[in-house]
Amino acid sequence: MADSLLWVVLLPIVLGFAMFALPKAGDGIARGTGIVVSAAELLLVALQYGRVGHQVSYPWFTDSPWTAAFHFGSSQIALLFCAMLALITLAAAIVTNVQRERDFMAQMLLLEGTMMGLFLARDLLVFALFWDAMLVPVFIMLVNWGEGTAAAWRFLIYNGTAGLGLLLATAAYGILAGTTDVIGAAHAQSLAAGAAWWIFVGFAFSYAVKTPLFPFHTWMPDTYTASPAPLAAVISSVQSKSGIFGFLVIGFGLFPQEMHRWAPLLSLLGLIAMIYGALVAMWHDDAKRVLAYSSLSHLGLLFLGILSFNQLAIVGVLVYAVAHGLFNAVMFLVVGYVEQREETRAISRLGGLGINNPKLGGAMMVGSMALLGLPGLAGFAGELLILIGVWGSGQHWYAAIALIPIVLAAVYMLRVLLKVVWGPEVQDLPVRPDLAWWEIVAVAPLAAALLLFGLWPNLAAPAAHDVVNVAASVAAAAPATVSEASH
Amino acid sequence: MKDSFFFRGQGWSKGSAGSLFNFSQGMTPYAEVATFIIVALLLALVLNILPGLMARNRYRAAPAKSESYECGVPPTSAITTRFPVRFYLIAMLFVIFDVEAASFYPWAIQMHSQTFGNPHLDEAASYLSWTAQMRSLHMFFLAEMVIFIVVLAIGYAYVWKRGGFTWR
Amino acid sequence: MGGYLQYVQTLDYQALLPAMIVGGTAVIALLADLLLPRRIANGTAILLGVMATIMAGLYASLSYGVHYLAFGGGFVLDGLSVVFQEIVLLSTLVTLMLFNRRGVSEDRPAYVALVLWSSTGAMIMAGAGSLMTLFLGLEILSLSLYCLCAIARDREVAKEAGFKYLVLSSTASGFLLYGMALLFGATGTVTISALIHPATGIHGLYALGMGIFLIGLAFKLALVPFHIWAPDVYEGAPLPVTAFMSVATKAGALAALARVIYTAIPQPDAHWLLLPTFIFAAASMLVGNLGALAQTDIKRLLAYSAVAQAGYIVAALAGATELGIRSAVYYLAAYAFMNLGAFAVAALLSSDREEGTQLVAYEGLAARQPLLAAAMTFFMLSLAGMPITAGFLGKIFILSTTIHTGYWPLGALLVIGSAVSFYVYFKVIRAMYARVERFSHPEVRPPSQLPWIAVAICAVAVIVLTFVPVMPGDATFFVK
Repeated sequence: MADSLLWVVLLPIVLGFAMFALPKAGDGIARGTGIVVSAAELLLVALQYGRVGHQVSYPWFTDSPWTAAFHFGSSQIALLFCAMLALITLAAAIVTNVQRERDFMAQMLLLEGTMMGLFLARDLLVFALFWDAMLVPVFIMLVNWGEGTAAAWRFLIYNGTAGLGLLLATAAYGILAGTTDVIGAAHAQSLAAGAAWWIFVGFAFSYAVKTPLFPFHTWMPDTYTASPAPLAAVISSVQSKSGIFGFLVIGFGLFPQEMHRWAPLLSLLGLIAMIYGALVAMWHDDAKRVLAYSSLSHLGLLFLGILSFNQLAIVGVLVYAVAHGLFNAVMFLVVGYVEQREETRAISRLGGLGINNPKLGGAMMVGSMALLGLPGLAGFAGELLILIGVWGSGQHWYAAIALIPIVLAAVYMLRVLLKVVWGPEVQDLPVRPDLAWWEIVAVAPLAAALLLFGLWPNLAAPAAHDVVNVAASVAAAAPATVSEASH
Repeated sequence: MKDSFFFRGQGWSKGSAGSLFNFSQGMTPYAEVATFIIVALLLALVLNILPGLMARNRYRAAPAKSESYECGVPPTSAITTRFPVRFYLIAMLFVIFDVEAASFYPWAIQMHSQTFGNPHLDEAASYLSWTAQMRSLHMFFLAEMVIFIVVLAIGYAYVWKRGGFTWR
Repeated sequence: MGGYLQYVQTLDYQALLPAMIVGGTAVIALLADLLLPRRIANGTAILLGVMATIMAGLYASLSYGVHYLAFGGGFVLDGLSVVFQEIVLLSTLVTLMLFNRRGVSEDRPAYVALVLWSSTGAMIMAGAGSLMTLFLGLEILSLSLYCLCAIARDREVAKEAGFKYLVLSSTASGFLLYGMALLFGATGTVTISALIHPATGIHGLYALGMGIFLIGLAFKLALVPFHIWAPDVYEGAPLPVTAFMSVATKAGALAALARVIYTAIPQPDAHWLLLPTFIFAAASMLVGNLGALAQTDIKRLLAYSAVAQAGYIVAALAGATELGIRSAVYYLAAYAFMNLGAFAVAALLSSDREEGTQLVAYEGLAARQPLLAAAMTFFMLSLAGMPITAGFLGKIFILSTTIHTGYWPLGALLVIGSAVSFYVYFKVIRAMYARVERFSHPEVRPPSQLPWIAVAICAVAVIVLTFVPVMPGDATFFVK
């Protein structure tokens, strides 16, 4: 019954709801189940690599003035993000250690399922459905396991409003184009210029909030800080990519002209985000906030890459998106380890963890090195490709300025690393046991993947292929400046 | 289906779609209404002003003038006496049943006019010929009224059972 | 057959039969109270009511697809009337299930009878083809509701609710009647679809009458600025009655509004006649959601939310397009399920002494009763227009309607209103899921487990409607 592609989406959702059938008290059982399910999900995603391009579609409504379908399809780019999601969810499930674990695991699985649906959706309305559905488990986890509900509200109101923008744009697209079943379609309906203009604004606003891009980012540090470590790992690394994914697949696929029109503004915002995020990250004492603002900075680089309309940059964007997801997950998990042990994540109150907890220090170092772009790890490869691409597209100033925050990344990350891992031991800090084996197991595959993508960035090239063609066509169709520069 | 539901009875006798209440022919139908309104307003105005002008001894105070008016008889008690709220209930029940009883009249008239002089009937009806069609028409009217009375009676019995008629 | 049937066809009565079943059963329920001992009569009345509702619902569904003008156009049988009648019957059924012993224990047959009568009124409104029938249905509905609001006589708020509703609603009825009189004066007919002749154009009196008429309807729908009564009345009325009012009354009034908009307003040269509906819709979407922000009582919260939701539906109708009526019907059906479901959850949190409508009663519900919390979450998500619920799809349909008709400002206002409403509905979700150290609210034992059935039906419907969006083609058919 049903297609295995469909099960990629359904399995976590169905089993997430089924988790509630488990006994209330059995935390171990719940965690075990969560790990097994997310491992199975990873396997399912891996199996999809055997038949990339496979699609399933069930009609949703057809007798309206526009049609929609439950249309899912695997593509290289979607599977890349799905695999990252499955891997990170598995890691998060392994290290989950909260109260009422059954409910937490259930919400985690639901979140995973909704994000899988988002990446695999081939219909704009299905995309919007999962886009909005994603908010609910995160909100519930934030109010129950997070620190204070203010962050949850901010997250919800921001992203809910963005979701409504997406909804309005999707409805408009459906009405004007006659169908929403268009993601990845070879020949998408072209809209009238005026309509396309504001429909794209709706989409872009929504993606920009979710990613987030500079002026829409204010929910993000609060949310990441308030989240429990496993949740923070998942949303900071994968949920933020859903906006990037939207720009890559829907932006390029359906609104190439509009992407061009808005590129100057968006890449300027990306540049501002890069510098602003890096500067703020240098001053924060809360390790999670440092990570949050560094994330803002790195996401800005992704925008810069996307909007350069350059083939190399797109490959770089994909490599860096994966890298960002992986090292963010590692770092949030590691900060979670630290917080669990020392009951603080204030950098000023931590120090010398590397002496007593060498494994913890090592894990943190791997994550930090990837984050600050050590050559050989995926972060470096991505950054390099993007910068070359941006330079190649003629935006020399952008490429030059973008170097500054990349250097700053080394400053703020080394600040954290030197203080927390190698700094002088803090007197009243209790000595705790080092990482347990499962905590290493959780981050090891992520670190391995970072290394893999660092040494062999071409792994992301087939995924970039889905996008590159469009980007190239845009560059060809676009007036003067960009197309000339890319030669 | 052209003629309206409520005025069909009068409508067919003219053999046209226009009902009794179709004003649309001729001059503006609101002249009469406007006249009525103007006359009513004027009358109210005049009746309010005229006594002040006509009363000769307008300043002569008489105690009866400040009393409440009870058909010329001196009032026997203050008008703000307390009386049991139960009167309201009784009054309301009276009104309900009274109005319902009053609906017998239009029913009877309708039955009559529908029976005699209804061109839709197969045979022209008269007081002398009593056709099957008329009989069934009357049965219909009878059934309607029986249902009406039964519902009413159940309501009556319910009020009775719930003590709506007991004084205390 | 001949006989009197040539005058009033059998089909006329068949069209009216669902309403007659329900209304007749109310009389029988009173009879049961008369003839049977109290204890048996109470159960019998509920059973009779449930059976009558189901029978009427089945019978009404049989006539789906039939188009017929009964009683010379006084009562209409078409897709729209059937769908709206079904929604009314659904809410009646749930209302009977939500029965709460509090305050109405000795009056249970009367309570059932009144609920059934108001249901009858709403059903007649749904099929009203003439202004007279419309008013008749409205008054049957309203008169029963006045009593129902005040039926818990020992509560001050109940008395206040009954009185407030009586006074304000009669005023609105007066408006409605005056509007009808003007319409009749302008056109010489009371048949809704005959109100306008394309040839004659629009009389000034017609416009005035239509305006006043729409104001009367807006009051019954609790559209801003005629919504002030709603929170107080919803709060004072017993929980099941509130559930009924929030769905059935709205369904009846919306059916009437739809019929008037779609058959009595000439298209498209007199679109400006619909201006009041635009204003009502826009204001309701904003004010309803803003008003709900501060509420901590579920009934009041849902009262304001109902204002906003009615605004959404009217926004869909305001364009008078086919997509509009389909979106409205879909959204109304979704709204019926989600709102009734929410009230059913509240009924399960009620004890004999107290109704579980304070937000405090929901704290930590996810830990205590995960299933109930999950159901409530779905209802709230649906009201907020979040997936995977019918409210999401309904909102999409309404948004696309506003764009389709070109009234996109309404769509933009809908988005703004919904953004505000997130806080409203997620407040309930937060209460259920947020970590609580100690439950301040005592655990209650609901007087009956019957609402579970309603919760289950509504939850399943809210989710299934998303994936199988029934857009009944015939529901958009108006017999003229």
